[in-house]
Amino acid sequence: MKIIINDKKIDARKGETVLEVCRREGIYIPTLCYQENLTPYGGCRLCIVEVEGNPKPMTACTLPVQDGMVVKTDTPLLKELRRFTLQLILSEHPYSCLICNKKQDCSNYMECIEKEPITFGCKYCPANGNCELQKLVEEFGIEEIPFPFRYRNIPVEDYDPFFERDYNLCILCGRCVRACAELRQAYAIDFHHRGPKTLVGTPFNLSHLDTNCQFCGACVDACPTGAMRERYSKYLGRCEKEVKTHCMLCSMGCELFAEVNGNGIIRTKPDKEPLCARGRFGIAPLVNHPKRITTPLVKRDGNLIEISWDEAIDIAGNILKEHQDKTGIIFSTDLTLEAITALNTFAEIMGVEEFGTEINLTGSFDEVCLDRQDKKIALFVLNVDLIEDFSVFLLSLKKFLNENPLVIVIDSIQTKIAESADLWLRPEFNKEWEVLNLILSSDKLTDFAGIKKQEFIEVRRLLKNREVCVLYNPNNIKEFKCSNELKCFPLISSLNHTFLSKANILKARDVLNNSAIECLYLIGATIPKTKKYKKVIVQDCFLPDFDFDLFLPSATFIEVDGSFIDNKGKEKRLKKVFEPRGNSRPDEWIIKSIVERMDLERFKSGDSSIGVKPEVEKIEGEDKSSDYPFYLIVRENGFRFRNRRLSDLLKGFERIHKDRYLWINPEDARKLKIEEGKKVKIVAKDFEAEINPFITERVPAGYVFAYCDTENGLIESKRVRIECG
Amino acid sequence: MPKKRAKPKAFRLDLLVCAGTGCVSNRSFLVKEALEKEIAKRGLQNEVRVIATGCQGFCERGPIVIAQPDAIFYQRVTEEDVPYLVEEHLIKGRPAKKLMYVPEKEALPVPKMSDIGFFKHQRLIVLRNRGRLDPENIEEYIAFDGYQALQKVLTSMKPEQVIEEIKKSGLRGRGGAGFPTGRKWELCRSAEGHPKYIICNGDEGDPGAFMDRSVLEADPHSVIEGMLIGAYAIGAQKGFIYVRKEYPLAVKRVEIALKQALEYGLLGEDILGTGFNFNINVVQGAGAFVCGEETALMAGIEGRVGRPRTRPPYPVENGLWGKPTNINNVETWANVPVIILRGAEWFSSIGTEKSKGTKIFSLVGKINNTGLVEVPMGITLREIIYEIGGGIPNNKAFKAVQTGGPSGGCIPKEHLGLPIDYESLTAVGSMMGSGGMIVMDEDTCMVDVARYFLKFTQQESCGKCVPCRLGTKQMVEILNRICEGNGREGDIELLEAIGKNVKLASLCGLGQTAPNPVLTTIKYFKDEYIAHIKEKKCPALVCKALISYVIDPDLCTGCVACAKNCPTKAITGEPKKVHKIDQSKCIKCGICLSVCPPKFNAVKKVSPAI
Amino acid sequence: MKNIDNIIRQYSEKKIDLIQVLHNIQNEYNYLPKDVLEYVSRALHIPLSKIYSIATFYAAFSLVPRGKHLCTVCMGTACHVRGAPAVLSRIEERLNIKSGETTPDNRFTLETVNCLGACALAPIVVIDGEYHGQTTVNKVDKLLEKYAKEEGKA
Repeated sequence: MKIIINDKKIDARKGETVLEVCRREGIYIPTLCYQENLTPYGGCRLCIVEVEGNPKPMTACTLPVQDGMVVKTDTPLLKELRRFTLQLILSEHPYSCLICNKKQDCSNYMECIEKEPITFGCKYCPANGNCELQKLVEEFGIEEIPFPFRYRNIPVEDYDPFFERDYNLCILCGRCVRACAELRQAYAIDFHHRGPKTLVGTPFNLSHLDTNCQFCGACVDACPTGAMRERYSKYLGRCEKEVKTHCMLCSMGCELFAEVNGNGIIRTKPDKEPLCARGRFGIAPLVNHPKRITTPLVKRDGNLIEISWDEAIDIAGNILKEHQDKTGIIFSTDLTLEAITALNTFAEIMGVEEFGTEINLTGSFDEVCLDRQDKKIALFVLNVDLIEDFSVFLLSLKKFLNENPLVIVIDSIQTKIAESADLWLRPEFNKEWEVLNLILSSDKLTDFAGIKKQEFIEVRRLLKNREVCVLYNPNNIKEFKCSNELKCFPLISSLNHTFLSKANILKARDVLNNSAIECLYLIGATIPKTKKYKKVIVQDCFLPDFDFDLFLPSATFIEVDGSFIDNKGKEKRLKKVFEPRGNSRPDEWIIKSIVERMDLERFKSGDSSIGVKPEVEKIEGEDKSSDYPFYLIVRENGFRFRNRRLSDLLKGFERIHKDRYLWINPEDARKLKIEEGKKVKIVAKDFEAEINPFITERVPAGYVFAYCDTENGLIESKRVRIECG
Repeated sequence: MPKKRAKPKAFRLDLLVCAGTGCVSNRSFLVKEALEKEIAKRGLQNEVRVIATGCQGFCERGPIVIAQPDAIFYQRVTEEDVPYLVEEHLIKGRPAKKLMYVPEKEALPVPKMSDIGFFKHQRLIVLRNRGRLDPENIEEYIAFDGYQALQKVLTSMKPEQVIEEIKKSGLRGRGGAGFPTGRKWELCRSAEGHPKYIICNGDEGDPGAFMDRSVLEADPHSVIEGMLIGAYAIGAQKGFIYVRKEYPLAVKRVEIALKQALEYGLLGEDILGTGFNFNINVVQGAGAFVCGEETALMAGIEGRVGRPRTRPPYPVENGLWGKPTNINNVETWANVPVIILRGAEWFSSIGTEKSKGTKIFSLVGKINNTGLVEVPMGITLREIIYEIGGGIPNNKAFKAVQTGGPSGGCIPKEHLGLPIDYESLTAVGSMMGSGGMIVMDEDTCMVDVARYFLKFTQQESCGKCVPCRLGTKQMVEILNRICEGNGREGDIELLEAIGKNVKLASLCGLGQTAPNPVLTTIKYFKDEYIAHIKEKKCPALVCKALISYVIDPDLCTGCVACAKNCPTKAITGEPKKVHKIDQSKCIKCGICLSVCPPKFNAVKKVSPAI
Repeated sequence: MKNIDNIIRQYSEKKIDLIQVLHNIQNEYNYLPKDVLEYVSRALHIPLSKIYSIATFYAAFSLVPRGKHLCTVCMGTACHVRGAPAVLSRIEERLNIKSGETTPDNRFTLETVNCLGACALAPIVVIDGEYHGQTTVNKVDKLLEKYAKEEGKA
């Protein structure tokens, strides 16, 4: 159809809005509450246009096109109304600098003022230079606000992780509310009250930690002013360059923009697809972390000495040569393919058979592939917290299916997805697959594994006319049986899975259990603190907690070119954003340098086998002895970066992801007189550790839970006892 | 035909006790009980029937009892009056003079309803059953041709014919905007989408308006029948009656009526055996004036926050849950059955060229005969206020009449001859609105009235769009300043400029009409604004900051009444000696004025303040 | 929470909408308690933020406990013109609270409403559902005394 905009005939399609057409044609209309990927709101009234035949102006963002419509976007009346509206908005938004005639001269001396707790104007505001109000004021040429100013005096919310909220700057455009609802479906914030008392916030002004907030940053990215702001990058200045690369903090491998300026990387931002808390708020502080080591270190006489790369490579070569036949290599899965391949080659050339990585490799996994279904989907979620670890996956799944599938969680732990699922079955530990198989079979239903017959009946009722898919984490279960017809998709946080499962690689714990090994070369990996070796070489970004002899600083994935495989089996390419910080080097370079230095061809001497068979790990029978009354459930920790937990390095993650704790049920805690803040001892047949307790109903009585923590020996589920104090 | 029909008992006399909210608050239920007891005591229970009916309209004179079939009108009946009434009218057969209505400034009582000025000039179409039936008994509605129109429609008219009839009648939406009803139905019928819905908008939020409440309380079946006909015409199977929470009695009466209609096969499946299905749910509001706006109302029914959305798309295309929805006001629906029964031509013979039929107004404020009146369109304001309303009490001068609620404006003396219809009211800067008509006299301050309305709008604004949320706030602040004596040069111009912009830029009707009271009072009563701003004077002696209470030493006899009651002990004086008010302690609560005996009348208000 | 479960069931069976659910809860508890709203949010799979948004938007709902006696002063136009502001001031002064507040001893909650539709009786004060028409400043005093006396007896 054709519509007429500003006397020009323009093509338009049914279902488009006038604003969409204008944007397409390059006709400018100012907006504030409009954001492309959100439902139009029509609240700011800046995008009003005049339509012939209508007595009042209408908002272009919500106005559907009609054949023959005659529209004017820039009349004197519209200009006046827009100015009026913007001036009204500013009457409640601190505008000190916006219309100050000295704003050009002012910039250089204002850095300390940014840290004032109250934002009075642009110079105090972290969004300075990045604020849509600033742009509009300039465009409209506003030099005065004819209305009395009101500072709403709302307390600044700066007590939550990652981002802060100063609602005194909020213009009630609703973009954050819509982003949280439509883009993330978390519904953590909404409008409260009405009229002039309207505010945005959480219900009952709860801390975001007590709501469904996923700390994804969608609201921060949506906010046109400085009301919602990221804490880390507040004083780091404006972005000068954007580089597109990928996140390697989990197997999703989300695409993102790394924003850079003279201070280095200041933040990461999503492109079209959303990010999670790790990718949005974790990367820049990691790369710039004060505890990151960027020069090679060697331990001499109990001290860590900084050395040059030349010397470091030499020492590495010597150590490996010396312990050639008794060396093991363990690497983490979040390395680039190039690094892993180099390492593989190195291991082969060196004749190292003890070459392992930290995953539970059971069989190969095909690509995660879902056809668009005509039928509705019922999603079974077993042993994986889709919201905590795979929120982006869940969103893309919903988008792909174009609906909210029925979600049934079968999990003995109360995960976040269990709370928001349509139905949550809580079976006894390790019986999840049996429960699932019972549901899907046509067997008679009875009480089983702690689930009542009534609940089974309810599930079968909900499954009518639905196609079933299963999402699970193979790293979190001991064994399972999955029939071939059932669509099962493994969701593992570790990267490069499809690649590694096809390679000839051992499990890390097998390498660790081989008592013949004297020397370990660790790339991104950790070992239990209790294990002692003659020599340990660590190649990583942060110092480990266990003893080591040589430290080779790696570059992060922001600082290298390379590739990796995501959980769909797709290869994703990294783009180097800038040179590695300090003196750190890419893993690939370090490994290849060692190979070169060792001149390995010459070292390949005939019999390269170790000669000692690794100890076969005994399959533990269920020892229900009263010595070990609790069952420890261990699950994969998706919040890691190479050899460290994110929570060790960044306080925000410590608050949203309780992986430095042993989760214990309140009943059990009471019986054992356990209190938070006082460490407890966890004892198993083969290890013991001291750990802080976290008392929560999320773990059932009789069980304790911890995220996988190799350094402390919590590697796999087993029976344990808990000793207080 | 409706299934059951009880045989009416033969009573020689009916006593219809008004049980509208107004009279109920004045203990009319207790009057009813007392009547029943007394009648039983006198052994008349088989001859005389006592029925509670809906609002009679003449609320000023409640509790009201009407004796039929003679239509004798008794007013201000208390429980103590009951034995006298029963003795005189029922036993002795002569009407009880002392309880009859005596017009202002006259001496003789007027016994018959049809002779009383308040009722004489009204034309009851919507309120046709007012006061003559028990709203909780469907049989009575049926006895007065109830559901005949429905039968006619279901058995002998096609939906398109129904729509044509309504279009021909010229019926326009009675909720305020006055959109042609027939056209709205046509648009909804032809819209794509299924299922379709119809809604009855009973969220009468205009302060001072209670027409819809009365209709729902007095004659709920008229609305239900109207909705049935509308549903048939449009092709809807589900309807909602949205009633504001502040009307619990209306909700109760509607629910009883729905239940009875269902029992009689007039709602539900296969109505009157014609295969037509229709069901109605009652939805209660929750205290938000903005929910009277169509899109906000629908949000309320959907269980969401009542924030309006932009239009287009209009509800007739995209309404409840995205489906075509037709929304009409209570009064509009109640007009439908009678139009079908008596014909579009008859209906369009009443009223003016563009505004057909009648309109109910709630006549309140500074008026002798406060109540509900239904008059033909085209009647003049003067007729309503003086002939029906009985003029201004206490010999005060008429100043203005406010129509259209917070969306309307104040109409001054010079327009008293204005014939009422949609266009004429809009032409003078006001609007018809839902029918609230508030009369103001010389003791009303127009600036204060404007401020009152703006404060109301600010409270009720949903907050979504900037011009309404923040523009009306600016206007309220300016008006506050003016009423507090801090008005400045340029304030009037500023109010006009902001008002004009808010009207154009707001998202919904609330914001678009909120400035009207201010703009009309500035237009017609500018001198009052100027007096407030320049002279710090409130001519009507209302704005506290601009007045002082003083005791006229020539009139004060020292009766001590004022000093005794003054909450801040600001009045000093010995008994039998002239009293004086200490202005520094006076909080201008007005208690001294109200307790000073009328024969002395010594407390006066003066402006500017001392 | 048995009554709440009844209310929840009515919602699931689509007999009442969410706003009516809140009305029913408020009728039960005289206000909307936080833990009940959390319970309903979980049971109905409706985000708590939506429920809180609705509870704060509509004036009929109260998130704080209300007093034993609910005193509502109508501030409609007819009542305004007939002197409702003076009546309200007097009550505020007498009870020592502002509109929207509850007395410290929890006896009275004072609210205003924008038109009850009984304009002929303006100005109107409603206490515990009982309408008192044509109130004046004097009548206010008598009314409040009456309640004080009744409680004194009890």
